[in-house]
Amino acid sequence: MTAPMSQSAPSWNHEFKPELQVILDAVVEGVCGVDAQGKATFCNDALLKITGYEADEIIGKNLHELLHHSRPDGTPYPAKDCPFHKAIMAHEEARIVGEHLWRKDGICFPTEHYLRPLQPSQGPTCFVATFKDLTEIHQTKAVLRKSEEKFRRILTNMPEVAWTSDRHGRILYISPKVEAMLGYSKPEIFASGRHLWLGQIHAKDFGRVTRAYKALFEKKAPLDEEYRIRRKDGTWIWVHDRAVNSHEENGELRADGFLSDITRRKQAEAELHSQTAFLQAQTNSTIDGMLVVDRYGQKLMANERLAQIFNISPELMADKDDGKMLAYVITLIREPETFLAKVKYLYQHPDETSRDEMELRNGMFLDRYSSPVVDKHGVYYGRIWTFRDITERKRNEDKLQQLSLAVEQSPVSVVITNPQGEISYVNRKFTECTGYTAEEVIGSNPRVLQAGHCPKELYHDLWSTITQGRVWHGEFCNKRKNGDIFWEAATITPITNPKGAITHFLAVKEDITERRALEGQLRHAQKLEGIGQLAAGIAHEINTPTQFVSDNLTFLRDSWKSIHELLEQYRGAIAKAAAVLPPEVQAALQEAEQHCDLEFIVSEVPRAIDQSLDGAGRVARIVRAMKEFSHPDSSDKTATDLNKAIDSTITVARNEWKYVADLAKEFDESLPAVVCYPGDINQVVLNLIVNAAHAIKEKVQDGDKGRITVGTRQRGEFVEILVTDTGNGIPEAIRGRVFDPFFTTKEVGKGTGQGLALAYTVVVKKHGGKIWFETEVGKGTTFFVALPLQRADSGKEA
Amino acid sequence: MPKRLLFVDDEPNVLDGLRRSLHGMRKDWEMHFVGGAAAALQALEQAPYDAVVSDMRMPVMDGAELLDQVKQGYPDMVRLILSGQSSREAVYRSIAPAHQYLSKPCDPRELVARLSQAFAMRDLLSNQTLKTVISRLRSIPSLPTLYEELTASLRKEDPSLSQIAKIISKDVGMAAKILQLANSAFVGASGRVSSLVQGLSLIGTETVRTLVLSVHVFSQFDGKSHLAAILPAIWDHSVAVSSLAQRIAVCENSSKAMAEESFTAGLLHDVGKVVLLAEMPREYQAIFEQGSGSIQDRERERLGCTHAEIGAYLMSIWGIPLPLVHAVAFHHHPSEAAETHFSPLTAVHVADAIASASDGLALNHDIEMDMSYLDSLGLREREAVWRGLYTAPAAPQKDLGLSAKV
Repeated sequence: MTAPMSQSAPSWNHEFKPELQVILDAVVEGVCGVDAQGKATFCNDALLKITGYEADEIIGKNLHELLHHSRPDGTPYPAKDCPFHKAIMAHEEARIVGEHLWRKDGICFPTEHYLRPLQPSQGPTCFVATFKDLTEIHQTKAVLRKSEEKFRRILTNMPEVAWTSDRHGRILYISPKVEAMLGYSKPEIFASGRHLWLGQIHAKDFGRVTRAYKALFEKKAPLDEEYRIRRKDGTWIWVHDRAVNSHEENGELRADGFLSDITRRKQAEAELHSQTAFLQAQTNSTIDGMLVVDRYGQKLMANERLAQIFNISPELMADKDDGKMLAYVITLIREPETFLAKVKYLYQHPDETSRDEMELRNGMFLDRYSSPVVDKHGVYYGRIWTFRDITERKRNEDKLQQLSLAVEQSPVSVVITNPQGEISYVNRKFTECTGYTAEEVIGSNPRVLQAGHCPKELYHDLWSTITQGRVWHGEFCNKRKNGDIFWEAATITPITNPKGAITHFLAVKEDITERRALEGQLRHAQKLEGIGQLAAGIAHEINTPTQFVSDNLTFLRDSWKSIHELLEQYRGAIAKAAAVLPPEVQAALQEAEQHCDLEFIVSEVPRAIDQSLDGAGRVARIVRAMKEFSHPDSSDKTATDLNKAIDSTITVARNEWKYVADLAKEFDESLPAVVCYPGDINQVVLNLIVNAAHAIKEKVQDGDKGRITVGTRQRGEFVEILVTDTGNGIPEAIRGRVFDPFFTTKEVGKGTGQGLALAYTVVVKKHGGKIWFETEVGKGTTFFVALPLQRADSGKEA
Repeated sequence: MPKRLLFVDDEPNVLDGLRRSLHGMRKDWEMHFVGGAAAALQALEQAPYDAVVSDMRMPVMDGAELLDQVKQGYPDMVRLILSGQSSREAVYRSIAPAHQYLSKPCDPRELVARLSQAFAMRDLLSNQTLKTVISRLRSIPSLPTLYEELTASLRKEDPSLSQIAKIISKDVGMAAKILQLANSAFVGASGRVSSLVQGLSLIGTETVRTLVLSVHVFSQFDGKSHLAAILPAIWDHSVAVSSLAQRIAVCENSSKAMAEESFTAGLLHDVGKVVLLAEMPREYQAIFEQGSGSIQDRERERLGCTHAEIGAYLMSIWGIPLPLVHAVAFHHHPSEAAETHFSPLTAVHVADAIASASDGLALNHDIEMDMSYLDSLGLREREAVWRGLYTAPAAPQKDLGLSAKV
């Protein structure tokens, strides 16, 4: 602005003091001096700025011609019509508003200018004119007008209804939308006074709304009410009525407000409300404890159940900080580290869902579920945690699992069948015991196990008992898959439903094969013991007469020898004295000799006595053998002369073999004593000899004889007993089973099937020895019993 | 003078049978037969007897009780049981009162042999007091250390036979007792037993345990005895002789049985000394500590007999097999046994002579090798070989535990 000034200043024909020019230039309005012809004599910067001209382009020029040459529409503006010019001419003061001036660039602009004559005139300058550019004011007004129009348009088009009313509720202004909203036209509303507004408010809302309306005017409290109002067609709508304040206009209080139709929102709200209520109810009625925590660790929601489960105090529940609650809950958990780690992990991995079980210190089991809370746009809000008390379920599960494990792993066989007897379940012991897999037997009848040794009555009794709903106990002889016989003690229980109908049968069975075998062996041992005791008693009874029978026979033998010698002497003497003996005496003697058959007596008496002595000796031996065989005195391991023991056994068993076989002994005479249970070993040898005899009996014809060889020998650290027969040998098919308990090839009543099983028990289990056989079909069999020599000693000495 | 024998049995037929079958002994034996214990005791009151042979099971008073009374009233008699019952209980009950237990039916020859053997040894013993002492003797005391070792072994869960045999093979008293039991009717009459291992096997470890721990068939010297210091030396000597005798027998190609017999005989050869030490310790101590001449001379001088005869008599009435009795009886003067072949007696005599020569204890040093006896057997040149078999004990085992306790 200083530039034009500096340019114009030298060319100015008026001279001002510089201070005056500075003051002029600081004036906002354009100022210029005007001479009597209407020409500019000076001007300030503001005028230059308003008009766009330089100072020298204005000064000396006719202002009308320069700035006011045309009307705003472009038509020429004659000076005679111009009030400014007319005032100059009349040398009058003039205030001119509403004229437009033209800028140098051809733009016209509204001005307000003022002309004031100077008294007296200052040189040529007769007037001072000021110009005010009204462009901005005009523009503002235009904007205002536009905005007013826009506002009206908005009012007309917006869904809300704007209103102005006085304190009585009389409508002073209402926007046109009211018709769409309430059905009444503006004129109807104005005409009705307050009736068509306050009068249509729902009775239930009326009091509240009028109180608020009153407060708006009396207390300047903002109005913000939702209420129901009746439309012209009689339907009810929900409106939201708001007014911030009341103001005074023309001495009266007025209020401007907006009325919105919120019926839809209200409906949605109601819906939401019921939904929320439903959710709330659900949340609080759920058996799960629920907790929603936002990403900042703030509790968004926690239900009552949560408080119950963890026994959380109301204060803690109310606290928004989840950290405090977590700190508390942690103290209740049995494995807090695990839980904390999980929580930490999940907050670090917001997308993950997790579920697991946790145990509280008080024994409660919780099923914990956690998932992120994400809206449909994928925005993560936080995480929901639910905790369900599964203690009972867990206990039941545990119990059930325990029970099922107990059944499955039970040391007894468990079989469950349907009422028809078809197997529906077998446990592991069953499969171990029978050799059948569960798949093989499920659906079939337990009779697949029957060995055919039990009488039909047994099964009949079983079925009639259990079908009457009673429990049956008994023992079966069954067959394993591989054909082995085994014994079971079974308890079969019908399982009934609450109505009493049988739904299943439960069989609990114990393999008692070994027990039966042991019982058998025990019975055998007891029998043997009895025999042993009896033998000892009988031995005494027999030994005593044997003593005197033998003594007497010895005496008779010695006496006969003496008598015979004496007799011979008599006979010799008689022969010598024959010459002197009377013939009748000789004849009588001869007759007497012939009568008693003296020759026979002489030859037979010593033999008779010797044979009797032999017989008595044999009786003594048998008694001793019997006693030694049964060994009633020894229940301990004893160093035993096996040859002697076996010899006794052969003597005792003589009746078993003497008709079918000759028996040869092949004893190693230098056999050392073997530490063993002599009674048991005797029993083993007896069984082997009896079996050998039976094997031969099967083969030989009546009258023929086979051969049994019983031998002993030492083989390293073992002493072996060998029993060989010339029978038929053992068929290949049964070779693997001969030592099994209850396995027998003999007819019922002929054998217990325990002889070799017992031998096995005695030799292997009691003595740590070995028993085996070599056999050839048609040729015979040799059984070997190997007993360790000095077993006890070597164990000790080591 | 014939021996007087009393037979007791409630079965007259048995008595008749014995009377008849033993009729052949009528020249040597004067036999009386009574039907019960009461009659037996009555007969004993009226006249002295040398031996009594009784049945076990009898009414009113059984054989064990009878023999117990006989032992009290007539302690020098030889007491035998002849019973048809051979249960262990009966045997246990008779161990204390009876010297031997024979089971029916018993061959008369066996009976005669056993009794004759006892009588023969009895005749060698002139000292009546000693006869009584020996007949009354229930057991020969053992060395306390060995006794404790044995009882400790037997108290174990499953005592080993060989371990027990090892201990018993070192003790004179135990060995003698085991042989007595093994030769009774424990295991039937299948010959006489001279081997300790065989005897123990026949009896069985379990029975040995019962006998030792419950029946107390063994006894031991009093550890506080003034003899305590010398006992181990005597034991060492017995063990040394037994071991050498066995080696000599083996060296002479004897049977295994004879080798074992020699071992046992060696162990038992001085059993008389042990009896004397146990039964008359002061007298016997005086004998071996005072006077001059060999021990057996001093014994004969003071007792009228030697430890050899004393031991032999005890062994004979205990039913120990004759070869062992002979070895004990004649180990100083083997010629008197009138044997013509190498026998356990030979082995023991030689072993004793060799071992004694190097023994420091005077009590053990009592014998000279009988060279004329060896000449009679044609074995003189073997002497050097046998001496070579001897290995002197490395150090006198005087610390077997006893001396330490004194």
